[in-house]
Amino acid sequence: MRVTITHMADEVIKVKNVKKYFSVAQKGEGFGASLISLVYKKYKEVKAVDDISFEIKSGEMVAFLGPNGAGKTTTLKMLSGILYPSEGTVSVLGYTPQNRQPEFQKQIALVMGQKNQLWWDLPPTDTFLLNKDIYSIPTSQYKSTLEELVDLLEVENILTTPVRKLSLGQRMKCELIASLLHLPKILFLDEPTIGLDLVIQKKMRSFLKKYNKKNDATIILTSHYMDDVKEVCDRVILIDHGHKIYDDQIDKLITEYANEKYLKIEFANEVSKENLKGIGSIIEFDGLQATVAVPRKDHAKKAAELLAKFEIDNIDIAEVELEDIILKYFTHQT
Amino acid sequence: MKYVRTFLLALQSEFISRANIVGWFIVGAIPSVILALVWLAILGDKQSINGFTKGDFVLYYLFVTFSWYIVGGNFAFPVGNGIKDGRINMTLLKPYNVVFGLCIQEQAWKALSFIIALPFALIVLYLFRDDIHIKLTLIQNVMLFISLILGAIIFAFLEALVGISAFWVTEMWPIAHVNDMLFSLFGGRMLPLTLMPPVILFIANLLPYKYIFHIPVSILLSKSSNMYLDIGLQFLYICILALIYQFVWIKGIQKYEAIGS
Repeated sequence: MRVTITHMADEVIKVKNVKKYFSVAQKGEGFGASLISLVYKKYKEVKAVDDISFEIKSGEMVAFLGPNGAGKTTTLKMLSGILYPSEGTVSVLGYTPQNRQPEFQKQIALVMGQKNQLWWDLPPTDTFLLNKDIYSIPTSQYKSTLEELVDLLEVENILTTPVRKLSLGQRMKCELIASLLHLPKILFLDEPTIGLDLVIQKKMRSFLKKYNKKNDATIILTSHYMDDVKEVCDRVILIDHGHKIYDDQIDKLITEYANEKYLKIEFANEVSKENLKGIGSIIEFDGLQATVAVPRKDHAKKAAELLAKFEIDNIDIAEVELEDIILKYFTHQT
Repeated sequence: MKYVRTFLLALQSEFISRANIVGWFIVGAIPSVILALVWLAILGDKQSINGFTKGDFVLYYLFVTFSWYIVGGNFAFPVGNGIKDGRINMTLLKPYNVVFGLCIQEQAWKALSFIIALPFALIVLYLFRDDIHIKLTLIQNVMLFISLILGAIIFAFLEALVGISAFWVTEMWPIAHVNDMLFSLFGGRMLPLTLMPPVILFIANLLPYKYIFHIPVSILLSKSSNMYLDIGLQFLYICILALIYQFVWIKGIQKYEAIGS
């Protein structure tokens, strides 16, 4: 009998000094430059990913964050085997992704918010059946997984409608089902909630958490919605210009870089902005309401100072938004 | 099973746009009808031109039209466009051959078109029943079938190679059209190769296009001097093209930029 012992702390993804460079054609402005480009083409090397290293453990939920063009999607594509790295090594579940071995591919899935796999003219169930065959899913497993996913994502009434007739949110849910039928151990999500309304975004997030818990799946996510990151992930990797600039727990990022707290005040009477300046830096102000950023360690003292100085209806002490921390991080204001 | 399912899904998609199939059949049949009429006019009262009788010409162009659904197609475009705009990304992730999958998808409209066009073939065969004489032995029938399949594989490899040229060029359609033109000229689709000037025949012998369509039609018309050798050469071309394809694919996929997110 063969016994396999797996540890929760096992690294399922190992990325070491990975680089991905693209050669991009350049052309100057105007018709003359176009004519020149007919005979002489100039190329520029773009460093999409430049010497990134990290490891991800089994069951972790990690967010890749960064501005557009930072290298997040390129990294995901290398991890899933679509792209070859220019340099460095990538290992996912012990496999080299770009070799695209079927045993590896049967354990991963990539959901891209702007790329679809569903057959446009046919109902989603037909694509599900194709994926059943592609991933050699046993019929009983297919039926139970599909039933569960359909139930969780509440799509039972659209399964027989052609994909082209579905809304973006409905399509996205079906994309997710198609990607999860084989119960991947690693799920790469590239902007999975892009264009979705708030209700569906929330459902998606809660679904992902359930999926992670139930299947001990590792989830790596890129998103521009900080709610996705806050609600789904525990760890964040910040990428900028192809470089990894931060890699740790989200809570730690907040404690480390949010050296301020927000005081959200509702005044009983209109106050002057000038009078608030001594309290902290004003984030928002409209006479009757204000948000003031104060040093984290002094926030209680500052709140008391406000209560003594003004007639106040309500005062809330809030953490700085993750979005603001990330923004500060990338604009080097911390 | 996954490719059978792909075929069935593609067939289902075709049912939705069935009117297109009739349209494409008309577009595909018109050049053959025109060329057949031209040759019949040239033939006039003569018994034959270079061994081609009235019945041979009719059968030849009927075969051009119908064999297109077996040895023809144009799946270089979905392959090339899929590479260009990153549409193949989602399929590359799966234990599934992207190019073969697209090739299988194409067989759906071809199969359906073939069935829809059959009554047309029966009408032509009936109208020219006194001129068309098909006298194939059992062996020739088997060889015709094998050569059609081998011709289809050669065609598929050429289309696949044209399609994956998109790893290097942004627009692969000029290459696809050149390939199509070469096939028409040197493959005998436009007119029988034996009626071509010697220089064309010489070049045709050096290229794989001849082995797509010319070999099966020669067997059908009992004009093949050595059908076993011809089929052997078809098989040889498949081996060569398979090796080239494998090499080009490996190089291409390493260069692939997987555009889009």
